[in-house]
Amino acid sequence: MASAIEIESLRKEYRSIRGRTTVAVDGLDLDVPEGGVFGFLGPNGAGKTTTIRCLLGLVAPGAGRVRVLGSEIPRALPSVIRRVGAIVETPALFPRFSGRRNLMILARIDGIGCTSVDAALTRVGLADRADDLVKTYSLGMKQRLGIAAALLKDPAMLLLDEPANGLDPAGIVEVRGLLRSLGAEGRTVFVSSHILSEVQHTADRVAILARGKLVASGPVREVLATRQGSGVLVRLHDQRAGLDALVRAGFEAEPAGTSVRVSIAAEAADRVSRALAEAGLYPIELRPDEVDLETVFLELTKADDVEPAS
Amino acid sequence: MIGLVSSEWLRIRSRRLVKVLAAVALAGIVIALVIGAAQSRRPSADELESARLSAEAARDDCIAQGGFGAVEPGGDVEAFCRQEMNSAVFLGKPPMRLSELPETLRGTAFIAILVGLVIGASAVGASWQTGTITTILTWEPRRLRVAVVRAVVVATAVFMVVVALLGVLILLFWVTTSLRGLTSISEGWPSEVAGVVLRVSMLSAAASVIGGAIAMLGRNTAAALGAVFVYLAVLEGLVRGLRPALGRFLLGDNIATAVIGHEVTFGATTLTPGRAWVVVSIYTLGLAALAAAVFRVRDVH
Repeated sequence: MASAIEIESLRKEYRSIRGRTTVAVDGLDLDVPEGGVFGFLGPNGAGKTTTIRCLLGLVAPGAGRVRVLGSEIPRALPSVIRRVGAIVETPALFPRFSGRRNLMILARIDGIGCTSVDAALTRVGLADRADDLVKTYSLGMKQRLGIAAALLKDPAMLLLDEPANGLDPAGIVEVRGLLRSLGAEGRTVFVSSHILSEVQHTADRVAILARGKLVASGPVREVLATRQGSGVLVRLHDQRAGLDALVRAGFEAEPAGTSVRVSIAAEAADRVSRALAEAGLYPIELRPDEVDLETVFLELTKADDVEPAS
Repeated sequence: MIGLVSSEWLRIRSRRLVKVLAAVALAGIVIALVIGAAQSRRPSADELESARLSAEAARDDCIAQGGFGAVEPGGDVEAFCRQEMNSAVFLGKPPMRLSELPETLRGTAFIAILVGLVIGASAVGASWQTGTITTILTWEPRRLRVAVVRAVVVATAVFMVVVALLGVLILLFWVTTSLRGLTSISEGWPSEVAGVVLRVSMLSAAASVIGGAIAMLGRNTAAALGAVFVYLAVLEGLVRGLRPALGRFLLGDNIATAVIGHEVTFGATTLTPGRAWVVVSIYTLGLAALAAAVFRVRDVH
């Protein structure tokens, strides 16, 4: 599979006026395949936005190499930028112009007509507020206008920095659906976020960044599997009796909240069910003990010394 | 390139500040001329004849007495006396005269240049303050192109706005003097008027480039306006006071000379219009080049 984004040993430092140096991105290697939704995760200050700025040529890396859609950045950026739609942090728009006027100003740069502007506004659900001043928009509406701006070019790749920021739950679901549909159209959608549930439900692959370093990367299932212990959770009316029965049957079991956690592969859950039945106990619920992205994220990013991904 | 020009043009003509400043300037022109018209009165034929005779007598007296000592050695006494001892001087309450229009236009230069400076600084500063420069660069990453197109578009817009406003001023001035003043003009009047309009408009456009360049360096409108104010009011004042010999390089004096359109003496320094334009151009292009060079390599957040 061809790469939409290739980052090799990217490093970016910022120096304050007082000479203090902050390393924003520290030797980042990342490969984002073409097509689908790629989640770029990390806590605040992890270097996500700086990385996106490097991809867009907005900041100059101190070291490393960046390629977008096969073109070297920043050298070939003018030729590749027409195929890239982007939002960097909160969409920066002219607050005293209407939403439509904002998009028209951008559209004219690439000779895009009014029809495409209207289509983009409709796609993000802003058609009826298109002629209102942006300063009257909520944060969520500004985000949607930013996404509309990014979609104007009909891009092969979208770089979206925290696109769900400020959106209400309905808006988040809407954007999630939009991102999925864009990914399904064959576009590469690179989404940075710290809202993990959003990414887990949207992305095909993820990369997790902590203190400027990559700590995990790959398909969502694989990343989850790195921290996922094999086990099943059993919920019974009598938790104590169930725990005793399972231990007596030779299972490694322990209480886990209102359930009992049994260390066994999920595929062998029928053995747990049989052991309980033999003891005259019947589970209300029996399910694999899955780790969510949030748990993995917190584990990977909490360490004082972040261990880079192999 | 055409797309970027079209985008910048749409942006500048959508800016509320441009419309507000133009409207305020227009209102100022109308109010000033209404006041002028109210205070002016077309003199009767008898009053004009009497003033003409008095002027002739005074002119002869002036020439006979060598310009009353007001003409520098070697100066044209007759020309001085003709200019100073004209009929209007002897009309009691002088009416508005169309022949005074060039002087009135020169008087608008300060405001026009200030308008150009504010529009230029705001057009660039607002992009940094709202962060829209980031958005623009995700559409057109060639920064030099962005900087040049923006400067050219803003300067063109300012030039057109100032020409239009001065055009309105000329039209209303002509109407006012036709109704309540004197419309006699000299042979060179049309070209003088055209020259002043062109010079004031060009200097306003240059001021917009200077304002934009400083806003680009400071990434802020207020910083740009503050820097220009400090430079013109404080720094140039100090240089003028402490190192008068450097006066010929001062932006303020050279702008004034370019507006006036003939040799002007500031203290010990005499500036010529040609040299003044060169100095103003160096300031304008130098600042624009510096701003573009910094913008080209600067990290954009």
